[in-house]
Amino acid sequence: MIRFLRAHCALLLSLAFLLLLWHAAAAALNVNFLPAPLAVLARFVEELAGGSLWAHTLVSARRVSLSVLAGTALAVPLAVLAAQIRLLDRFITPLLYFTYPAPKVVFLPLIIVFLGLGDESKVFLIGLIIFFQVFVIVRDAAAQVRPETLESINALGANHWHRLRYVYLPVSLPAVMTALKVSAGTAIAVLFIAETIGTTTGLGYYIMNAWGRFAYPRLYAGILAMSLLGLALFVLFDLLEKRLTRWQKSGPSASGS
Amino acid sequence: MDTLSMQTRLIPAAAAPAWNGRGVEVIAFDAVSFGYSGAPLLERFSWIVREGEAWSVLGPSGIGKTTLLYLIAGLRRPDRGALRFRGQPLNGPSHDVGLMLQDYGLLPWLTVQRNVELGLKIRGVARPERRRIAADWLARMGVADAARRFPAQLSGGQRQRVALARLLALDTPVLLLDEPLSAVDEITRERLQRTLWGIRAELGSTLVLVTHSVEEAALLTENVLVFPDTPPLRDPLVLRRPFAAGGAVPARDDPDFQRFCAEIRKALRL
Repeated sequence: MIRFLRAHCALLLSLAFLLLLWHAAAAALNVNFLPAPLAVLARFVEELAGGSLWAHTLVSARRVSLSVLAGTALAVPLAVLAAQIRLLDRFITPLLYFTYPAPKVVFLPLIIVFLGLGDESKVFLIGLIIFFQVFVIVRDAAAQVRPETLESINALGANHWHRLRYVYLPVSLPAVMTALKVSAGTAIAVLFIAETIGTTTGLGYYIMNAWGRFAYPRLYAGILAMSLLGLALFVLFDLLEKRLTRWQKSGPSASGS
Repeated sequence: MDTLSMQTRLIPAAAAPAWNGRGVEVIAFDAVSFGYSGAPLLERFSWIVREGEAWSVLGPSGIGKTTLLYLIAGLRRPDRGALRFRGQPLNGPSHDVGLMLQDYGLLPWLTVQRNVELGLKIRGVARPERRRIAADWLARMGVADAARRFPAQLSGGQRQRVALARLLALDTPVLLLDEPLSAVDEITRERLQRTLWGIRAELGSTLVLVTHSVEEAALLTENVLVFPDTPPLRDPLVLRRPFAAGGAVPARDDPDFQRFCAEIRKALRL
């Protein structure tokens, strides 16, 4: 515990400062739409344990996880193919340049028309955003694979699957994790927007519902839950990155076991 | 130290079991032409490597020595002419040919152990067997304690030994080595040369070795293919060791060995 405090001293101090500022502002303004941090925290725990907040959080977490998985699972193999097959790249790259800068969230109404109001439209929209981010980054990483590395594994008799599994995937993993970390914030933001339209589940709905009922402590609890979901996603990608790319940071002096 | 102690366990070349009867043609270049984007490296090049023979390929850098190995490994196809492996046209990598690349070709994201296992895994060897073979060869190369490290955590010499372990773990009858001992210090180099000598004697491998060292060529192989100063390679200059192969590693102060070195130097116009 002491070690933890020492290691994260600055973080805890800044957090304490933020809460203090919030508390002071709440006390000074004394309005119902700015409750004190302790009141919000109490309400957050209460909503999580007794209310529906936990269920809504799970729904949102499921949607965003599915999107990340689907977007990444589609983008990685396609990007690897595009890096290897020039013809495919020539076809995909112009498409990408046209569609990449367009904010995907503006397609939400259309996506809903096509896919309905269920989870499909939300997962599709967020998955699309993840897909673009990951595709661009993996294609560039895969194009930089050293020819010697490929010759070496080809000489062992490798097929397409082996090349994907042992060369292209590991070589692009650090880039994939960076792309996912960068997209985590966007994914949560788009999730919020998607969950405010025609649905009665998810944190987006929970927040807008509390807002409509002037239930400010609940509104704050919802915002806190959504922020924590984004943080959890970011931390997850960060840990995955550290775990999966150990070989990159290992200097000659590092120990073997 | 492992590399030295293993010396005693080896069978001398004369007693080594012939792998399929000697004198059989293994690799045959028949008027092969090859080049990259119009720059010819080989032109109507013919060359035969027989079972159990050891060849060195010597010549200046950038002359196409590595390309020659790529062709044998099935990683490149001749532009013209025929390339046969045991009498059959060669269409892509064969499981009977092992290649160790100049930069060792280790995958940086796999541990040493898994790097050595990779070729076996691709060839469908079951996991316990794979582990045993990999651990065995890492031990014989004297790098067993590096098994759980990543290649970036090793010294150049250690990486080279791991790459050798990976090659030898495949147990291929034909070994292609591209400057396998370039990154090791003088002492390790001599030890590894003995190891290679012993392994060849033990396994009866057919060996093609690209090297920059005249001594290494004369020491490890009884046939030397000398590339010209400028491409393309047309009529290969072939030198054969005047003294008998087999038994112990030739002594460096042996007059026959020194004569062979001098002959190679002359061919290289050094």
